[in-house]
Amino acid sequence: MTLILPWISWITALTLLGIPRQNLRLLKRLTASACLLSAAAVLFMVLNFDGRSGAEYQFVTRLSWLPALGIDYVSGVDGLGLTFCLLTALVSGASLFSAFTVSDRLKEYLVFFLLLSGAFYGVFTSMNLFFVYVFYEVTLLAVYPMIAVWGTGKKEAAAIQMAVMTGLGAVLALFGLFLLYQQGGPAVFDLEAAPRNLLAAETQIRLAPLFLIAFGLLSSLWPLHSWAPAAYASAPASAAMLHAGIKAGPYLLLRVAAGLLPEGMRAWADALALAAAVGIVYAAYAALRQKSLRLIFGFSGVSHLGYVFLGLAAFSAPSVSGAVFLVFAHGILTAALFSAAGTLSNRTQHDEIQAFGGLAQSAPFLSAALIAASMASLGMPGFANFASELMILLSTWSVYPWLTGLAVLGILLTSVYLLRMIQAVCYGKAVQAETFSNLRLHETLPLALLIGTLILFGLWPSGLLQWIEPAIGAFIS
Amino acid sequence: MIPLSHYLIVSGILFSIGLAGLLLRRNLLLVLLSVEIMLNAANLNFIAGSAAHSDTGGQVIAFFVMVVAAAEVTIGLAIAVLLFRKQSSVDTRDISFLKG
Amino acid sequence: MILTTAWTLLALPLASAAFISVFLRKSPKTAGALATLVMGLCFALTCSLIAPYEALKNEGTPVLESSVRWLTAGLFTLNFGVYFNGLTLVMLLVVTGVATLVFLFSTAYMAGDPGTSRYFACLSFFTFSMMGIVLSPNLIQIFIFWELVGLSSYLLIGFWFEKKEACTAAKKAFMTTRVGDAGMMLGLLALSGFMAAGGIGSFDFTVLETALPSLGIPELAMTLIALGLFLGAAGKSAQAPLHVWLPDAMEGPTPVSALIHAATMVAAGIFLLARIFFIFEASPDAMTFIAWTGGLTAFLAALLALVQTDIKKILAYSTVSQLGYMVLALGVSDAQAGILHLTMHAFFKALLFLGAGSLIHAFHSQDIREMGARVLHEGRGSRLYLFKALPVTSLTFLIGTVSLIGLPPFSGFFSKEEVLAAAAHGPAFLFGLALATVLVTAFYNGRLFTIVFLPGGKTSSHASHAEHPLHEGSPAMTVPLILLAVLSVFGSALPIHAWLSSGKEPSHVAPHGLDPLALISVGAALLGFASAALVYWKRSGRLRDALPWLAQPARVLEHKYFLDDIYDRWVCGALEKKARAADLLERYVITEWTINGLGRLARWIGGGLRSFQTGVVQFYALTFLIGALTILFFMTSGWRF
Repeated sequence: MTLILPWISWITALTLLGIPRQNLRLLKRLTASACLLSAAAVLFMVLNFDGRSGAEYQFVTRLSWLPALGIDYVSGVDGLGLTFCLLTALVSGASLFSAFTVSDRLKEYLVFFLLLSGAFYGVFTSMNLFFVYVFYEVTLLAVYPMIAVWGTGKKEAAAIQMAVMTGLGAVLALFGLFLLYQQGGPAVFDLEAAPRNLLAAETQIRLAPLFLIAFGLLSSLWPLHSWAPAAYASAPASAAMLHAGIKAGPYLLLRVAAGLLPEGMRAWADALALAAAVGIVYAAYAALRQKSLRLIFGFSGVSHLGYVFLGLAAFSAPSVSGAVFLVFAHGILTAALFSAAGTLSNRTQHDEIQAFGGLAQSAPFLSAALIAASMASLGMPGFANFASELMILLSTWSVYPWLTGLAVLGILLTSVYLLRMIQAVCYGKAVQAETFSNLRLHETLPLALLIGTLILFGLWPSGLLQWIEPAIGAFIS
Repeated sequence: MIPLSHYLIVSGILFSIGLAGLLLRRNLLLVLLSVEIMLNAANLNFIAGSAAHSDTGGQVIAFFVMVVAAAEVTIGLAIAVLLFRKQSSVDTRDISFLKG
Repeated sequence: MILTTAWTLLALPLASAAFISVFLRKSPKTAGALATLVMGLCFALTCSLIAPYEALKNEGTPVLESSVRWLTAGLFTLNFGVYFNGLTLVMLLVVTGVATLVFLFSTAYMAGDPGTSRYFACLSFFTFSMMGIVLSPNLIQIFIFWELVGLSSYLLIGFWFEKKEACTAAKKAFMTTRVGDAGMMLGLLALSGFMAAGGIGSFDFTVLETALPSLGIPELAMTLIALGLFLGAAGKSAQAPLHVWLPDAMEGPTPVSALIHAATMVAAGIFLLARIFFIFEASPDAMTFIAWTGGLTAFLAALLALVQTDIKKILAYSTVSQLGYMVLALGVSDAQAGILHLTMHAFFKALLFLGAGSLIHAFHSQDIREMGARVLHEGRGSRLYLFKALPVTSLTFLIGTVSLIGLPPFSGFFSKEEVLAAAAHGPAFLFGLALATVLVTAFYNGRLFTIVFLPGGKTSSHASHAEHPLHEGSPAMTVPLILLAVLSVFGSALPIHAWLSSGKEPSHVAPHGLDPLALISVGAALLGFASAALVYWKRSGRLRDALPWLAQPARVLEHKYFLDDIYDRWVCGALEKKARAADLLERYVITEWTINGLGRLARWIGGGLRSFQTGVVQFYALTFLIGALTILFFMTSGWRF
């Protein structure tokens, strides 16, 4: 089951190449079916997942690939992987609608889109670190042309900056994987065996910072974050939704650093926590100055990831579970925000918040969605973000009281820039009222779907935590 | 008998002359000539060694070198002709199309 | 049975809000009717709980609770549920009662407004959140609904979102209360730290109350925790210096001001203080701080009311001042006095706001100088014309005013007496402040009443509304006024103290009518009112015109002690500066110097290396030679790396 997940999208991508580019309907239908099929597979896994053994891998298939090096192609999900697969399914489903609005060279764009979403599925279903890495490399590969070709504004510069920074992170991670292999042999790559203290403590402590920096680069941890806001601001909406929404960085950090190098993580946790907390506040301040809607959302994303890393740094079962929960909630939220931003720029051809206005009058649904998403972002109860942030705050307080206090300050700052954004965009006199007169389904449905998910898991956190907590419990015993 | 060392010294001098010519001459044809000198110096070395050690291997290699030299000079001269046709000069300093 | 009703009370307004948002967007009248009916039903249900509760109390189990697990974070189990005791009952009665009347009033007041359905949906959602606060069994749930109430307030203050001032006021309210909420969260977290150390995993009030002494929290920490939690209460209840949002919040529709910013939401802070009173009691320093905050707020806000010309702003500052009284009462450990005043205040303040709404509706203006008996009728000479044209409004407004000032036998008198009696046990200066506030309160109310209702009030020569005959609103507007007036008079007859006491504390002794304190305060009130009437009879409404020797202090008051300017410069300014610093850091240090700098470095190295590619063959041959010689050297000399 998990075996086919990435391949559904990839094979469809290959098929798309053979279809003439004028046949837009067929292209769109094929892409949609690929996404739907993958989502159906995820749904199947969700329904048949045995919650009681959430720590174990389920739906496992194993293929021998490179016996000489001891690397097998293994795919399966545990509670953690399932959560991320669900995230991928939801976000790629929602970003599909935005992807279809691309006007120029839709065929090639959809190929990259499928490549990207398939690669993400691959990252989360692979049980061998080698293949996790390979799939992750494909995501970097796919997102670069999406931004460089189909983006807006200073797209090439943003895309190159992103490619270089994330590429650097990937190279560092590769180097780290080599070192791991050298120290621990092929058993190190096998996630199912989950060797916890396979490596000596000093080795772990020496290797951990390498991975922290590498994955920090990949997931826009302060101060390695600068590529993210610029890249997401220039990216087409669906690329931003996918790449910013599905944050594989924390996942990789958990699997590699926490799974294999727990002593190392403990040794470097303080540095990570400090970077995380500073990032929360710094990115919030930076967001205050931004005039472009998508840059605001980009910095907001960096700021929220600070909470995730704070939770990871505290390295206790509830804080890490809360962090994973927040990655999910934040991913959904980011997808919703960029979807709304995409609709806005599609219709009005610009991005500055001062140019919008009175959306509450001209497009009440869009405005309500934007307000709801902003409320979720600033931690209003009722949404999943609040529940996860509360979990993190409660469990990191005992470990890092001052940094947690800084995180609370971050919530205040988040309120400031988001409310300012809402006032500029949604309130006041309606500007360009006609452009929003009829919102089509493809602009409203993804928003409803995503925000609905946030409310669902905000009221019912156990729905997600029932998978996450056992899996995390296995990491942190 | 002429001692082996004499042959080696002569071939060494010839080689150096050829090397100097290779590095310093401005005319492409003379550079090729210098290469020929270097190859002949090597040949001399091989024959002398073969005679001194009664090993025909040296003579066999000398034949190989001669063949390679012939092929190389053919191509070199062909390139020189084409270059001359392009820019009416065989000055080595004018040939820098691959400058980075 | 009580608990099921409690759950229903929580669910009904939410269902009403959801239903209106989804189905009744285009039917404002139905939305209004539905919302009001649901609210009335909630009130009826609450009343039906009185008898069972009293029965339970006699049995000795006055506290009930039921909850479900919501979230587990390590040691902490966060539940969602309902909690019912005497305090809950009193608050529910206030909330549902006043809400029903406000909803009824709104159906007439908001008629014709295009956003009426949205109004009723938001107002119903607010009531849901407020009841959530009141019914919460634990601290986390209170926090959750605390935030939701803030959201409702934000949506309602900014209801007329085309107006820039309304949006700015909504933002200001949200942010100011959020600062309070941040303090509350910090206090909560600090408490959770000690709870974890002591093995307590539940934030339930019943659990916390019994476990608190055993946690062994050091004094300083306890004070900080209490102050943090108080910060949240201070934010919501507009205590100085976090009061700045309440006057601006008057941008919202007047019924909203009546319900949220007079009777219920602002009372949430007082309620919190009473609910977790045991936490504050554990820190005497915090209690002192609370008492002083309350007393000072009461006095300073009353002074601010003196210079306002907008009727809603006068009432807003009045609310801040009265809330100060409640906080003061709680600070001197008399929780029941505070809650009693909360209840009475809810009645007469809602009455005054709704009455103001009625006046605004009639005069189409919020400026008290444009309202008045004189404006209407130059030359008709009838003394109390306003009382003739708007009898219900005028009479009920008078009743509300008298109750606010605190004259017997109106209900406001009794609650104020209790607050003053409690203050008498505290520091003398504080008690003096409280008494002085009585005087000032009476003065500004007298000013308001004189200018608007008494024929001698000087009025500005704005357009006469002679062609616009004044009339009362529909019964939907007058009935609530009448009912609230009745409550303002007879409210003290409600057995609030009986309900509030759980039998464990010594029963509260209501002060007798004729003790010296009562005489002093009544005297002060009458003095204040009378002097205001004298000062403002036939004189300008502006303090510095009426009493020129007070011009300088008046200016300070008009600038609201320059607090808004201070906030602007120090808080917002500091924020902007830090934001600019972060932006500069981002753009120059990180992006330009580091990242692009690395790119430039790479290009520079490449450029340097490029010089090796001369394109001249002989140069390559030379490097070839050098390389070959180097290798030969290493091969023959035996050097090893």
